[in-house]
Amino acid sequence: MVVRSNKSVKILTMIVVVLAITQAPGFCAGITAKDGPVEATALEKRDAGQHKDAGDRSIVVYYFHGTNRCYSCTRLEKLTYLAVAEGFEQELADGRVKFAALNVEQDENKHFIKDYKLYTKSVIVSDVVQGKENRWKNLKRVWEQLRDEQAFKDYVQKEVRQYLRSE
Amino acid sequence: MHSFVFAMGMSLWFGILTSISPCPLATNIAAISYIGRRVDRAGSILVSGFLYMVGRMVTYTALGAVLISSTQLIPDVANFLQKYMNIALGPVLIVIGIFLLDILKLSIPGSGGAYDRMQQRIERTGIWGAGLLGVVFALSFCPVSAALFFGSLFSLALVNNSAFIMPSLYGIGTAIPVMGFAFLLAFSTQLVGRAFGRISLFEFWARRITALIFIAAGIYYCLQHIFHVI
Repeated sequence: MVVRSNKSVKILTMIVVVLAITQAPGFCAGITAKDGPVEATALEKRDAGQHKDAGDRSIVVYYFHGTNRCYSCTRLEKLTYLAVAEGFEQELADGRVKFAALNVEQDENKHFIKDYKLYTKSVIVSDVVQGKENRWKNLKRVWEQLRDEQAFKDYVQKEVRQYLRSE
Repeated sequence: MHSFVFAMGMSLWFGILTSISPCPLATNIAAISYIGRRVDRAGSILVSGFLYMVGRMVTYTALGAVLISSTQLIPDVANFLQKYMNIALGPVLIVIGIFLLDILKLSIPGSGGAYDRMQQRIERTGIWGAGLLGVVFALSFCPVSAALFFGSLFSLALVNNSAFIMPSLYGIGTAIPVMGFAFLLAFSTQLVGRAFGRISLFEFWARRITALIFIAAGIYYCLQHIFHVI
């Protein structure tokens, strides 16, 4: 292969510059957010199994993600966790409400794709009675509310509250 | 009737919301530069923008028509497109960028001029390439576009029994911000170029910047979806 151009070095330099700019903090964020990307690994540790035993019934709020963590995906996880933590502090403490962030690309979690018919990163509310799932709901509108933190939290909290209230 | 009109407006809005999200930013920048690269020809820019929109519209409509009649396929199709189209997109963007960058001449011994023929073919594709780009970029779903298309839009389309109109409007919505920016950029560059009497020089650089943006976007996709380093 013969390269007939003395500009190739300049071109490669430009590519590196463009890549450096696109990877700069905040570039991918594009639309400003009050809160930066969440420390996902910290939240992943909040597994449903780590909470206290709630007895007969618990509402589990799942956030399902993949290995690639985009800006919007980590924001979605953070806002979901904050909605649960701020809205159900007592219920989280006594185990009536649980939060779990799970990677569906890991072998042990792949079954959730079929179980909940997942087509993207999703928030699922699951009602578990005596170890068996009674019902579940995909909170599809979380992606529409992602730019409005308060509307997002209100939506998630309303859905969880409805599950908590109904027997 | 009112609820159907409202649902149509929402479909368009979901498309716009998809387009202005951070995750399709790299492909949007590539599309803007491709549509607006012929700064010397206003007609070419308008037709390219229109064909890009048609490409996206046709893709979403076809997907909508198939999946609304068999909704159980949605998770499989959505996960397949998100995984494999993004893996393929990186190398494809790099190859297109190299061919568009016609100052870098490659002579591959034994290829029998295949490179030159391919380059001429891409040049001949011209404005039709914008339509093809619309199809490819529409199929390259990211988490936000998958959520809004397979989730929000499909919920609306199913309730309103609209397999064609609402997916089409979603496609138009995804193209509107890109077309707007492309037209704005191209025509302002054209004005400045004309003012300084250097339109051909501006066109020369617009084409090369387009090629570099394609290569940069391709490298970004490779690093993210093939090598998982970013």
